[in-house]
Amino acid sequence: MDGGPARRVVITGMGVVSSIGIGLAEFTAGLRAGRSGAGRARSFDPAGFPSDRLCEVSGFHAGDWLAGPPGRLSRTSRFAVAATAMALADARIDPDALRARRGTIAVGTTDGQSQDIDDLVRAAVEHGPERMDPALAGRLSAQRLALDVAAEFGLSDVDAYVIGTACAAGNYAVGDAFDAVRSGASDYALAGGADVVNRRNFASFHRLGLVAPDACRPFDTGRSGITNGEGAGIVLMETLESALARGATVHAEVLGYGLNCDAGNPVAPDRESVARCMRLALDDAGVKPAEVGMISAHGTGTRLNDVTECDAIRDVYGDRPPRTVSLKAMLGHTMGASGALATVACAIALEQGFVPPTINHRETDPACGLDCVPNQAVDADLTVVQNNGLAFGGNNAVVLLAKPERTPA
Amino acid sequence: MTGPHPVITAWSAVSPFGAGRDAHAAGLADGRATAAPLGEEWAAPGPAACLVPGYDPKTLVGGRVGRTIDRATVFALAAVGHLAGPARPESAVAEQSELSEPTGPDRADRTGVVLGTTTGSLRSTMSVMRDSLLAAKPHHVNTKVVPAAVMNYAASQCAIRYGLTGPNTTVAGGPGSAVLALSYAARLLANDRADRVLAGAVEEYSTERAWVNHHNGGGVLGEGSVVFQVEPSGAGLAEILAVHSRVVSGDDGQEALRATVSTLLAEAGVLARDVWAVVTATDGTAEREVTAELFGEAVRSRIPGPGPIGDTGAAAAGFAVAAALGTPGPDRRLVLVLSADPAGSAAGILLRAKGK
Repeated sequence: MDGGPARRVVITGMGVVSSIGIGLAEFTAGLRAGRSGAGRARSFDPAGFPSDRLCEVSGFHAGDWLAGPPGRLSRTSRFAVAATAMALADARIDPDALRARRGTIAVGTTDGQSQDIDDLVRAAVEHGPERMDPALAGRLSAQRLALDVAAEFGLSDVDAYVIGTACAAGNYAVGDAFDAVRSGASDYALAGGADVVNRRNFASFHRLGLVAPDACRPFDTGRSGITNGEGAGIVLMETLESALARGATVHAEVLGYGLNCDAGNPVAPDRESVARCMRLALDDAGVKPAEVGMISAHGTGTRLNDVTECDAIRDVYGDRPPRTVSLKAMLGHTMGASGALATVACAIALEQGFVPPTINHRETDPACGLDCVPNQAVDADLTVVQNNGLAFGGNNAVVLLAKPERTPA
Repeated sequence: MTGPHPVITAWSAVSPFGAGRDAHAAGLADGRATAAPLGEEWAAPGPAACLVPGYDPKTLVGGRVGRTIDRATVFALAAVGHLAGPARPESAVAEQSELSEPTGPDRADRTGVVLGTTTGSLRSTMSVMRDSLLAAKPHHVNTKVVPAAVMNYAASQCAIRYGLTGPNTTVAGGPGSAVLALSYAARLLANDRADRVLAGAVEEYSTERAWVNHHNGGGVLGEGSVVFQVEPSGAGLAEILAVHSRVVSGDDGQEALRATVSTLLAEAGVLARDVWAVVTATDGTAEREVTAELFGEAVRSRIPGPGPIGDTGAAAAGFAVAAALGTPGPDRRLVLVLSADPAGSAAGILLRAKGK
């Protein structure tokens, strides 16, 4: 690696747009209370779908966070920009102070400007393609999520890109940004993910038989799929040295990550490959499994994912794995945002000393057989936590976070 | 960048010039335009496009390909396949565990795939939404198209077909997405996450993209895929001396391009006059004016620009890098590739290429 010993990378700012709360305080309260973000769909008409349940963000006023007229940005970009504004405020960093430094802006997404794409198709179907809205057609590039963040805060000396690795994209973005800061390529990074609910994605998951009719129940004998969700999570990462120098509050240290590809079944996760990804992350972080106090699972609540992921966790952790929770029961499946929201939740868990619950839980499936912290948060003094992200295509990424005061083993 | 530079050790392409590195290099050499009137199968605006000739998935990929697979994924499978080695037998896909065994320096779990895209296969994405609006039930969408409507489909299909279990990432960018992908690949190598990365970009022509392009001001569209094999060090076709991208501040796209050039030169420790050739991704006004001002016409004209293959979208800067590698020149020549995205970013890469 460049520039001598690797630098320690910490999270000093976090921003959240989610169905259980906007902003860090509300999100934290939601995690602790086991709040459900689910409700009847409002972003599009759910008539004719087998289910009308979505975890949508409500009470979001883009104007509270954005300087200019919000309509110029897609809803996905509005989420990403708002979460970034919160992260910068939380870090007590003036964007002016970042402008002179080299940075990375990495935003993960599954669907990019999905509502714009849906609207363009609707216009084409109803009125003909010549009637598509040029303003929407002009902002389709998924990279706009990162470029809009950069533009909003006047950051130009930044590597600003989007990772489109589906439902693990948030973890990919956090992991890659970690590499950029750790290696010295960037002084700081704004990383995370954003996605919004959209009809096309809702239809697709329904068609694949992966949407729960009532509620998302990860690890439960009665689990029957996901609830589609939306949101954004952005974290500000910098070196520990830089954080200490400016007297910043450190939420968590990013210890390392791992990424790999099943290269097998495009839809079903592969136990051995998921286990290998966790081992890659543990090795990268220099962490022994016994140190890990909590796993935020990908935990979609589908029949196949949960049992495969639990098997893989046991392969790595043995018969007494750490508490393993799925935030998707509360937040819904927020696609490219899920890894990012989980990163924020993991940092909160470390900092505030509790494990958020897996809600909607009735009876743990013996085939999953883990302590998923059903329905009620539990207090716990955590040192290291693990965040799993898996995606269609067999794309896996696992991030490890720790209390900054942890003594490396 | 200090220490050994990552090295491009091979490349391939599927382009309007044809399939494979030699076909693309030959097309570059004779500079023939590939724009042609669209066939009746395309109900698209615009009189012409630069399409991959004789589109036939089975021939391009060299084996059976699903009937509903999108063009972008076919192009990616073909170009990655030229570098990855033979596809594994279909029986092996089921016997995944045997393939993840480390077998040497080229072992599959240390080979990454990184592909740049604009927004995946717009045709696939839009056709699923169209199904939802027109079908008897809103979720009666075509299951065969659903996977290709996700941006990471092309990259993950490459992993599956060639048994590559290392990092597998889809990077969304504009015309500079291949530069972002190469930068990402260099980061994977520098952080010891892979020993070899196949990095590039892909774009497909479609009626859907043509309509979006029509509303964005038009231009002749091209398509294709271009992929580079990148390794941490050693001998190869070109060393990657520096990679840089940045965001346009205000509306001054030219300033972002100038800053990109100066950063690349400074990181490599060279001067503008040391640069043998500069090649631009889109040949847009800002790219033309900045490269003319900083390097002059002689340096600008040594490598053919994108004109003959049209606007290849996310693959544009990748094809510019291919032009840099595929155009003969002196040993250890410095070639700078520069890309401006009207969405508001600039990207560039500085190569030191082997003679041929």
